[in-house]
Amino acid sequence: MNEGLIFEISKPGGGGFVAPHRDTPSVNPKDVIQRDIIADEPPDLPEVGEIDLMRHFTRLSHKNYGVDTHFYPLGSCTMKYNPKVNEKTSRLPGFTDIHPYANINDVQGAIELMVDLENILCEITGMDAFTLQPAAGAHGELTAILMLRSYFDAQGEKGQKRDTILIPDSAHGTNPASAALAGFKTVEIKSDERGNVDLSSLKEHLDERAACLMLTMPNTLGLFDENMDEITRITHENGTLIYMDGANMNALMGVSKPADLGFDIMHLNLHKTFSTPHGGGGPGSGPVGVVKKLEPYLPDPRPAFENGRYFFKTSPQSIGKVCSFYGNFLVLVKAYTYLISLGGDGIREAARMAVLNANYLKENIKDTYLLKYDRKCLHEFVISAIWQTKTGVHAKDIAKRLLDYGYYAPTVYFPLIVEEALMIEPTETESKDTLDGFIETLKKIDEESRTDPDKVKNAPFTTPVKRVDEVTAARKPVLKHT
Amino acid sequence: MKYIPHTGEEIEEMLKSIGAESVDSLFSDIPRDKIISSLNLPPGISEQEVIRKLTSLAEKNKVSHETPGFLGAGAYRHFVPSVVDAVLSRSEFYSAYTPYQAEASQGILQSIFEYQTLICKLTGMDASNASHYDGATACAEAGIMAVNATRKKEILYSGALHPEYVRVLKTYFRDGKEVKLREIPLKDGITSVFDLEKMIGKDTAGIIIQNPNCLGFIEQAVKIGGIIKKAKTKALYIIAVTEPHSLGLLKTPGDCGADIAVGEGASLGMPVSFGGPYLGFMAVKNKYLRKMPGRLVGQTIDADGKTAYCLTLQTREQHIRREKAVSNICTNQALCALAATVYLSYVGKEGFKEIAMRNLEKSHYLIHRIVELPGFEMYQESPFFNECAIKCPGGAEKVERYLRKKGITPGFCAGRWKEEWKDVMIFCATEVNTKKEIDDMIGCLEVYYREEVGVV
Repeated sequence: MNEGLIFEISKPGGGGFVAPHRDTPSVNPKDVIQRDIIADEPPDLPEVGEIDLMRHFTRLSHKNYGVDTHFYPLGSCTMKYNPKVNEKTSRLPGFTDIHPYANINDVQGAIELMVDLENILCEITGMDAFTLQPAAGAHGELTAILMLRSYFDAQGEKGQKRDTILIPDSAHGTNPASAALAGFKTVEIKSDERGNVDLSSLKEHLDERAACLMLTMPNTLGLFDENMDEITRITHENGTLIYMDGANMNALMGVSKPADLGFDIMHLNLHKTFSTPHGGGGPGSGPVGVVKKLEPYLPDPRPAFENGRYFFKTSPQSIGKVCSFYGNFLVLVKAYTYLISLGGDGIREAARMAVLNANYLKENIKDTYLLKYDRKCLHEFVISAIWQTKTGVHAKDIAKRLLDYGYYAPTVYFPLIVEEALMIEPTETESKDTLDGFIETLKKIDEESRTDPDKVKNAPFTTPVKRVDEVTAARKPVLKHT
Repeated sequence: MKYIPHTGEEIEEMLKSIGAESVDSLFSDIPRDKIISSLNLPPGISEQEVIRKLTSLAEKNKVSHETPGFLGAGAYRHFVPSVVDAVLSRSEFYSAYTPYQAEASQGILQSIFEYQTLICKLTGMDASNASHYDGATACAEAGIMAVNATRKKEILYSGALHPEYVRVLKTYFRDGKEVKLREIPLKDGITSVFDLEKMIGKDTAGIIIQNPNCLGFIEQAVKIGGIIKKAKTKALYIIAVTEPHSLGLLKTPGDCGADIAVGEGASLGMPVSFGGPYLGFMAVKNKYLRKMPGRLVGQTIDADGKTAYCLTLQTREQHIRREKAVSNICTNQALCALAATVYLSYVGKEGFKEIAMRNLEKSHYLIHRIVELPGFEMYQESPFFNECAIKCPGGAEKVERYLRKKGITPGFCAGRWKEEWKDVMIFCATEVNTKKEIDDMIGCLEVYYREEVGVV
């Protein structure tokens, strides 16, 4: 059933809100504000009673798949279970009801939490320092690349201009976009036939202009690069720094530290790895960690602890601020809650079980769907629907058909180097029974793609709407209710 | 605590099915000398221990609703109706991903479509995106958009643009290395129209004015719109709004002639939360639609012709255009946008105006009472909405220390932003402040003057 827009439920005078009564003298706006800027009418907002408003948004929620309602095997997004205790702690008034400009003595607990969280992130990654300010993964990338810019400017290598960032063809789109936004040129590095960085392609581009190599590790194929040591060696020898896109950190936490692997700078996605929810597309948090030599460039201000007191400090070489205040603080509360709940042992066990789950799925699906890179994977893997295209069924169709069977869809058509890609990440929080059900369903859809391809091509049938016409949406954009 | 459902038996079965002898063996691609056996962190703890630990941290903070407070300066205390959290607590929303699979995400998609509509109504603009990280980053991205749209290399910004916004703008533009950032001087606490007129040149890409500005004063936003129009410049007029409740009374940025409206939506249903998560909004005139960064939701139909929603115009975005995208933004603040959608729908047209009126009344009572006191005066005699810069006898920091001793959270010491404002405190009052609180503080300031300043 269609749910009307909130504007269609609205009736003049039908609102349920009551404003607090006036206890100070009334003021006529015309007496205190320039007349030419006073509005004739307030904005035309809807007027809806509380019960109808609650039913409207509750019905909308029923039209949405979340992790609590459906298995979400969305590759590179780490859609693990979001513990309820995180929601509870992040709603404590001592966290929600503190002003960002409050006197430092009134927010000692908040800064303590930030310092503690930074320390935990340093221990997990091996990095020397972190900033918690970036509000999302891509924001962390931008922050990190701006820091690299300042670092290389400060090095002042005579006549040298490091203005290029090397990015593998399997990378997330945010990598090149962030590099461009920070004023760098980008060069694409090829992948080899095993899904690793192609060493000859890398060597070719490692010249005096190469500022940084941006690697997602494990990469978006879910593979750990077999030549990691060699990559690190030749890149560093060239004076080029190595960035880790930490979107896939769920595979490594407690198992191996990025700094030990040779990374100089990285970002984490707290909304992926540390289970602060995705919120339907944010708010997230994308802390950036660095080795010692890059620390002075971190954004201002940074939480600190000295002489028994928590405070904020600044650095003269800092790139400045990347958002207002200190970042998405309540998201930090959730990540902190999650990390101390799991503890050192639990963090490590989560990574191990995530990798076990991914390999189990992969091995049980690879006879049905093409596995281009048939290797041990880490937390995710990429299959191809190329075998299914014989009957005209594509990756997108398989994704839509999965919705009918009560699963959210894998990431499709990414990474770009696998044709008809379906990228699957189960995470550690899914049980063997759930995985078995998913395997069975993927096999069934493969069968359908041979016996009844139209059914797959026209899926979904059981979702709140049938296949959505995205072409018309883009051709004649309707972006608001009129 | 652990969130892993596997039994030991199942782990064995799974390893057998994979053909692996141990979980460790699955990590064999990682160089052996880079593998660690444990983290130097305390072991996991139970839920009740977790809550105890977090509660004790929270209790080390002083909760602002327990003390009378007059702090605003870019983060405003407003009442959040219960319906907002009731909707936000639904895990179908908060545990979902970005709605790329439209058929399984109609709920969040429709709510964003409603949000985009509400932001257009609030700002008087044609099209809104799905949100930014916060007001400051939305403002910086508007600056980038202006540079891209006009191919010019200079941004003018008001001297009363919020200093946090200015700092983010400078970071995004790398301190003006390629694009020049020039500050427009103030006159009487608001942007000097005289200087602005002189500064607009053939290189100007964008002009950023915050209204009401960071000192609380209401800018001549309509007049500035007229000047920009008359200058026949290609520059885009960007109006930044840090306090959207002002739009319950003031003309929309669209009516002031803005090409882009950006701002901070945290006042619309989000607690102050030590600065985040907040909600950046951006809305533009139609002709700039395809230059706008960020996600967009469009209305369309499904295979049966039924109304449906999906992400649209994605060819502007990073996952399609990579380095040629208009921005790198990916995850934004969807759940905060949902909070604003519920908030604005709940308070409604009349309620929104009434809340704006309460803000106007309380702050005018507050400021009126303050300037009656000896030694205190308005920084400039300009109109204001819910906060106002006050010159304090003895300096703002002295007043801060005194009021804190009396258990009152004072206004913001503007000297933290600019040295020249060291005598200035920005006092804010919203609908959550009571007359009694205000009267009590006035009493304290009276004594302050008598005891600490009055006798020279």
